[in-house]
Amino acid sequence: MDTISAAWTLAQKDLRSFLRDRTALVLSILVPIALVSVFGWIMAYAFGGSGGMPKVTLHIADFAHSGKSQELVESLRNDGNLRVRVVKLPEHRDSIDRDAVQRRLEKLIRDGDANHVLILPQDMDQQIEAGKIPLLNLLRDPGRAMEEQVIQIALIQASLNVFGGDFFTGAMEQMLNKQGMDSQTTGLIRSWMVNIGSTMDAFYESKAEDARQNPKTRAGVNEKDVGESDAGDQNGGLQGELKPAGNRGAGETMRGFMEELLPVETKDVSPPDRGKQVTYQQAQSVAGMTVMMLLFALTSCGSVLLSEREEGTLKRLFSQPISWNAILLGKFFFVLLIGLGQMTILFAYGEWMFRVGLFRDPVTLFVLSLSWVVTGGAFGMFLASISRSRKQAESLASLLILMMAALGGCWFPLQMMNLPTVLDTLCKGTMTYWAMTGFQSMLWNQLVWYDTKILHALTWQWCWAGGLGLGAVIFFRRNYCRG
Amino acid sequence: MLDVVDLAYCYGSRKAVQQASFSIQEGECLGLLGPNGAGKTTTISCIAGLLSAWEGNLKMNGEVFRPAERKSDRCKLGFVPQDLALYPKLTAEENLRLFATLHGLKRQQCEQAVKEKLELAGLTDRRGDLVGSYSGGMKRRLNLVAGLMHSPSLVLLDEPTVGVDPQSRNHLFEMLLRLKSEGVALLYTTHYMEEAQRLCDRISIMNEGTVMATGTPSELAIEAGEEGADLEQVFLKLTGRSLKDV
Repeated sequence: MDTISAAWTLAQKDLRSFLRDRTALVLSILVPIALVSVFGWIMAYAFGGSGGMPKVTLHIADFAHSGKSQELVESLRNDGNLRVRVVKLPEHRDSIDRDAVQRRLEKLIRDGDANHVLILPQDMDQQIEAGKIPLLNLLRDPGRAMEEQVIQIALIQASLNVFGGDFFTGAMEQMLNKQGMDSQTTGLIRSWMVNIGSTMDAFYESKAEDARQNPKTRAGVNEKDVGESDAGDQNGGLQGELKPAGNRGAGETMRGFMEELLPVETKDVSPPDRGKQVTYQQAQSVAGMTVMMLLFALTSCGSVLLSEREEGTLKRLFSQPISWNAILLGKFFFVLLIGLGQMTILFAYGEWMFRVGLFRDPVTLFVLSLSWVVTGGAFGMFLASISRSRKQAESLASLLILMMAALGGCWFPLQMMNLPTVLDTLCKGTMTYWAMTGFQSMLWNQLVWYDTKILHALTWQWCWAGGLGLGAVIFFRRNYCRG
Repeated sequence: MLDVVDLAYCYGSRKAVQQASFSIQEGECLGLLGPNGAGKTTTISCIAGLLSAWEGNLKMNGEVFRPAERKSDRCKLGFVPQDLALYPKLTAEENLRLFATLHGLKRQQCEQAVKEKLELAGLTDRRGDLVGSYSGGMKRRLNLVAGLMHSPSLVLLDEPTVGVDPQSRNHLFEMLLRLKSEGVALLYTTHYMEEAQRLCDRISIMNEGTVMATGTPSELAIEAGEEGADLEQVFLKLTGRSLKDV
C-alpha cells in the first residue's frame, strides 16, 4: 500500500473512532461554540461603550442639590462613557455632618465599592452667581488613572454644557489670577477671548451652513471629524467649537489645557498599606490568573480518581478494609495539598515579580487561599465523579473553567463592564466571581478576612464547595462504588 | 472454609451469575474454569466485596460473610485482580507498604511483611525501582504478593498469570503452592487447562453464569461421561464447542 492510501486509511479509522465517541464529538462542537459565545458576550459588554471603551462608573455626592447641580449630574449621566451613580445624602442638607459623610465617601473608595466620587459643594450656586467657576472635589483611587482620564473629559464637556461659554474664559481668568497676574490684565484677556470665541462661533456656523448647502465642498472637514462633531452635538453641541475640523493636534492641545483648567480639587484615597507601585491591572492579573490556573491544576488532580479506575488500582483499593469515604477523602486531601502548594508558589512568584503586597496580611491570604483551594478541589472531585474518562473530564473542565473565568472576572475586571442584570446575576453565580472578589478585596482594598465583604465572598465559596462536595459524594457512590 | 450457596448477580437485565454454589477448604485450591463471559470474574468480585447487590449466601467458617459491607470480612481475604493494580510511579517497596498500611499493619509488622513478600516474589534486589520500569513478569509477581500483605486465609486470584513468560509463571505457581502448603485457601480463575490441572485440587466448570460441575479432574471426566479424557476434552464436552462470547 502506498503512503497516501495508508495515510488515508488511518485517517478514516481515526475519524470513525472519533465519531463513535459521542461525548468527545459533542464537546468538540460545544466547547468552541460555548467559548465563542461567552467571550463574545463578555467582550461586547467590556468594550461596548461609545468609542469602544467600557463605561466608567462615577459616584456623585450632590451637596448643592440645586437646579445647576442636577443639570450637571444629568449632563454627566448623558455622557456615553460614564455610568453615574448618585450617592444618597440626607434630605436636609444644612444638618449634614460633612466630616462623617466625607469619611463614608472615602470608605466607599477604600473598600473598592467606588473608584471616583465627585463632590458638588453646597455653595455651588452661590459661586456661580458670584461669577466664579465652582470648585468641585474629586475623591479618587490613585490606581485607577485610566478611568480618571475619561471622567475628566466628561467633566469638561458637562461643565461647558452647564456653565456655558463663561466656563472656559472664567476658568482661564481664575488660573491666571492664581498665578499672580493682576485682575485688570486677566479681565482684558477674558474679553479678548470672548471676542475670539464669538468670531470662531461665527466661522464654524458659516462653514456648517456651507456644508449643509453643498456637501461636496466641505473643505478641511473629513468624514471622521464630522462624525465626531455630530456626536458632540448630541452631547451638547460644543465639541465642534472646541475641536476645529482638520486641526486635531490643536484640539488635543486644547483638551490637555482644558484639563489643567478644570476647577476640581482631587484627593487620593487608598488603603494605607497598598504598595505604591501596584496598579489595579497587576492586582487583577495576579488574582485572576491564580484563580483560573488553580482550577485547572485542581481539576487535573481530581482526575487521579479516573486514572485509578482506568488502571485498575481502584478495584484493589475497594477490596481493602477501608471505606469508600476514605478513598474519596484521600483524593480530596491530595488535591488540597497540591492546591495550597501551587498557590504558595504562585503567590511567592507574583510577590517577587510584581510586589503586589500579597504577604502583607498572611492570615487573610491563607484564609482566602484555603477557601479557594477547598472550593476548587470540590469542583475537581465533582468533575471526576461525573466523568466517564479522563478525556471527558479534561474537555469538560476546559469548557467550564474558561467560561467561569470569563464570567467571574479573571480576565477582565467586571467593574468596568456595563452588564445587564441577567449577565450580572450570571457572573455573580460563578464561584470564580467570589474568589476574585475575595482576592481583589485583599490585594487592592487591603481588607482583612473578617471584613463583611470578604466574609460574604467566602460564604458564597463555601456554598459552592458544599454543593459540589455533596455532588461529588453522590456521583462517586453512583458511578464508582460497589453495585 | 468458604461456602458459596446459590450466588446470583445481574448487570441490569443480564444475568451474569445464576445459582452458583461451591465451597473451598483450608489449604485447598479451587479452580474456576470457564470460557470468556462465563461469570468467573463476577463471582470473584462478589466474594471480594467489589459488588454488593448479589443474591444467595456466603459463609466463612460457618458465619455470614458480607465483605462489601464489613471491613472485618475484607480483612480475611486477599484479592489479586486480573489488571496490574499497582502504582507505576511508586517503587515495589512503596506499593507493598501502602497495601500493608491500608490493612492496618503496624510499622514493624509492615516492614517485616514487605521484606517477606519481596523475597517471595523474588524482587528483593529491585525493591527500590519504580514499578513502571519492571517487566511484565515482575509486575505479575508483585501484583500477586500485593494481595498477600496481611496474610489472609483465603486468596482470590483472577487470572494471575495472563501474559507472563514460562519462568515467571513457574515462579508464580511455586508461590501459590507454598501458600497452599501453609494452609491458605485459593480460589483461582483461569482459561488454561494445564494450570488448573497442575495447581487446583478441585475444579468448578462455569458456563453462562452457572456452575456446571465441581470435582477433581477425574471426577469431572466421569461426570461428563468421558472417563480417562483430559481436562480440555471434559471442558469442551461440558461447555460445548461453539464460541461463547458472541
